Amino acid sequence: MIGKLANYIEERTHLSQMFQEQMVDYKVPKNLTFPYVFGVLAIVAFTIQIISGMILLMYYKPYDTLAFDSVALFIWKVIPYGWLFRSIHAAGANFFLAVVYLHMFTGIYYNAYKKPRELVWVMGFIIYFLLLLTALTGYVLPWGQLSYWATEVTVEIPGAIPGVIGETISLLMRGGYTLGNIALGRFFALHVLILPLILLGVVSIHLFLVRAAGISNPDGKPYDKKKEGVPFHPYVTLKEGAIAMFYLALFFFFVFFYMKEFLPGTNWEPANPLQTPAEIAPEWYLKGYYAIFRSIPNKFVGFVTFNLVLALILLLPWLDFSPIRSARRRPLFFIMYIVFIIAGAGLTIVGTLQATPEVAKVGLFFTALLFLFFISLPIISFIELGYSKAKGGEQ
Amino acid sequence: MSIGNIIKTIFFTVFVIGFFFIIWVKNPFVQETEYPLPAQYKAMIYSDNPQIIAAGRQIVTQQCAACHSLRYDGVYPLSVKSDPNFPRIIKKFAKPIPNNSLLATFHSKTKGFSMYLPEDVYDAAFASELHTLKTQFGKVPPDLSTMYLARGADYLFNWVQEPGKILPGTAMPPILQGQPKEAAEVVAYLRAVDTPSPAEASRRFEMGVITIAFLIALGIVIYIYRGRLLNKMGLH
Repeated sequence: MIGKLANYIEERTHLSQMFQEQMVDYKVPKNLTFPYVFGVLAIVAFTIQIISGMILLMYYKPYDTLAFDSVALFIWKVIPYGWLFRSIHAAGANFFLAVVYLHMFTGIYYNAYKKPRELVWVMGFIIYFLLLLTALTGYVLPWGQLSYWATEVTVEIPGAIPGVIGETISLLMRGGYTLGNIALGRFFALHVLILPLILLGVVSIHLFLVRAAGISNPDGKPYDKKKEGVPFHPYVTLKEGAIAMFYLALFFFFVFFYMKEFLPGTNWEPANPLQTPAEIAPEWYLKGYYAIFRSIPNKFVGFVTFNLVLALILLLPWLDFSPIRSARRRPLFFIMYIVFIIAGAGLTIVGTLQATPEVAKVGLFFTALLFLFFISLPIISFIELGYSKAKGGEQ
Repeated sequence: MSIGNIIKTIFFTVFVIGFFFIIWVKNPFVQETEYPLPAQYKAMIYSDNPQIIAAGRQIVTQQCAACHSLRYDGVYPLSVKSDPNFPRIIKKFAKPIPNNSLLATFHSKTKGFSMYLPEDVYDAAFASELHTLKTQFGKVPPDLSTMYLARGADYLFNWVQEPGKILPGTAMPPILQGQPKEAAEVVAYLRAVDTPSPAEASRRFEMGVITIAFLIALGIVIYIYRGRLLNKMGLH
């Protein structure tokens, strides 16, 4: 019976032929390293967010007097397993962003953004930016003190643009002069429908482009697909499947036993527009940018600087035009890459500290390191271009 | 793998794990204020003892509820309770909610159900009482339903005894000054509102252990299967 049904479907769809073409005949380099798994883990994390989000959506009420109770009472205590799905969604957001960051840093390390993969990088950057927006809009929904005030701080950031433009952007984001029902409704719609739909589309384009341009190679050398390539299935799928299981085990360890950091205490108090909590800071994945913004005394310059960092990340394929790929074969780039990750991690940690003049100085130092990386890229590229030409156009 | 690669791998692994440890688990650069909580009272608060919780509830309904509400357990300020409309509003709008918290073991009379009045109804129906409280204290005294999760046992134990020490100039009077036993009972009750009952907690613990063990086992099985398959295909 099942065999007949399978035959019936097979005759009409040729699924097994498609599987053979797309998964088995698709060859990837044999020397793929562990960090290549983060792409798959990002898809796993995205799936987890969508499923848990759908369940939370059934019980959440986007209305300022009801939102807090719908989360802290109904989802957390009354709905069977509501606590589990809320924990999964809250921890999942952090894990998703963590995996996406690691995926990006892997791409930078192996220079996966170079020709012919520039569009993969651009699409990936758009995914990253949309994800930050999704995380930001989702953060306000529990309507706790931290949600409210972290969002208030975020919507005030465009106010750094002088004149009427900054004010207008702030006003539009806030939906009035105070955060309220209008903002909550907008953020809700953006978070549960608009942004995820766009994300799904952009993620598919990203995956399509990865297939179209081919996967990068850790050695950075062109490889002969027929001789050196291994079939994607089962060679890679099973390896990454196993790693995905270990990733999920780690994830569920946090979900069941360590939610303190993902559901912080301040957010268990209902939002109060009249009372500012002692510490307000965006979530960790925005803290790097926040630290840059905060360290620079002039607000507008700070605003421009952290947007410049975002723009420079987007422009990496064109900043780094060296013909040699992969940090494995580029000692100068490797040193600057270490500087880059230290600057990124340093800025994030600076963002967790109280804003004092000393902390601002440390933040400025790390900001300078970050820009050092971006400035050094064209210089390194020039040196390597000369080296490559002297060697007769080696790649 | 060359020695250089091994060193790089170790460096990046330590870097990533260290980074997430700092931002998710313990940040050595941030000093957290610690509030003293003697061991005997700590034992009382975490004992899950229905008698201590009942004693705490009595103190909360008699003293704290002069100003505070605790809506998730149907405790309302005195002035709200003496409103002539109060019984009618409760009858019409309050809903019994099943509760998986420690309260479930304690409210044997209502079989673990607490009467819950939605916040919009509460704010609208008792606006004048809440306004009186606001003019009296500068703001409406906060609802205590999620206070345990928000502030933690150590903070609350010190807060109910000497609020002025933690937040100078606060409108909260030192109700339980010099009464650590009563303070511990109050905190034990607030904890009961927000904490799953022992049966529920152990179920969650089991669930977590089984989920994690299953995933790890599945991962190992997939890995072994892959090794055998690749051997057969001559790809290893």
